[in-house]
Amino acid sequence: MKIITIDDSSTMRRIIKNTLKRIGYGDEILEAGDGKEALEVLENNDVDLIITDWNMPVMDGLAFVKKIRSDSKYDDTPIIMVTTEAAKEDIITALKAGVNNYIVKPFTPDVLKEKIETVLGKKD
Amino acid sequence: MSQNEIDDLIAEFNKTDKNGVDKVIEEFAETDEPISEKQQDEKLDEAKDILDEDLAQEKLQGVRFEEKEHKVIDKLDEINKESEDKVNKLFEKLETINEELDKTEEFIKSIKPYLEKHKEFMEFFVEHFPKTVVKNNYEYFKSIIKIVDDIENSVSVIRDNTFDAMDILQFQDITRQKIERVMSVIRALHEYLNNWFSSSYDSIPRARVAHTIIDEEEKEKVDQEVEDIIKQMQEKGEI
Repeated sequence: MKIITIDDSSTMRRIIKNTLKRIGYGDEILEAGDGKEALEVLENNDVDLIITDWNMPVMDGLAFVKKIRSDSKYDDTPIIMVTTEAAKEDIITALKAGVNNYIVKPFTPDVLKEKIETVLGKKD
Repeated sequence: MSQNEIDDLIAEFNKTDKNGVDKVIEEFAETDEPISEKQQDEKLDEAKDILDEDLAQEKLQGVRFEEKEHKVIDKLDEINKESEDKVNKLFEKLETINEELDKTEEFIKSIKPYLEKHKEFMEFFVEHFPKTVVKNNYEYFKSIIKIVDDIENSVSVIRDNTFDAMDILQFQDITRQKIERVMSVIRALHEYLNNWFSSSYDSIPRARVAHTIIDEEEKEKVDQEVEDIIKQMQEKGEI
């Protein structure tokens, strides 16, 4: 399974990468520091899951999700947003933009696993 | 222009504060070697910087900030970067601990089948040769197996703790974002002050800000120093 994790914090990318390995999703993990960089990575790679932050420079997570959802190629690619934004209206905005699930930082490995299983349809 | 007019002009020019520029001119004069175009440009830039600095000081009316220290946003950016670097180093250390734990675990896994075989062998002996020596050896061996099991459990506990520590490191990103919020407020405040207050502040002539403001307890001492200086200068006929 190929996953891309997008976050401007190298620490967060590291944590997510490490957590994915621990919960059994560490086969191949790609990284990007913002939405624009992620689009470049995705040009040469097909991924099964996208995990993105919201607040990032250059292209933020919301703009990235909107861009991805405007391309039919990614219709079936699940997106999980992992962010500090915890306001109800923000969560609604992200979901409306095309995010499949939403995690508020800080998160635990169990939560990430549960959300991944949900978006991959492994869990009801 | 008459010689008198020229002399007056030079005298007027000499009255102005141009210490920094003089220094650059002196440096030019000190060298006998021909100066390249690049060197000339560098010297001119240096002189320009000094004049710019003087102008900035004039504008700040004497308020002096430490170099870089007053650039709060830059400073906060530096703090964020530094903390991210340090947390990444900490993460590397935790990863190294985990790698060592993996090796220890592999090592235990590799010796466990031999220990089990040996235990079976000893159980056979104890059963068929129920002498105290054999039994004591068997008990001793069982305690070794228990120690190995304890090490295995400790490895697992240490690993869980390193994983927990890695999860806790998410605080860095959260703190960074909190600092960035503060930075955005400072930035907005800066814009606000520039737009609404700056012009009116500049339009009113104001006194230079004092460089040295003494504490109350120093007052008497400083007053005495002033008196002494005045007295000395009067004695010398300087005032």
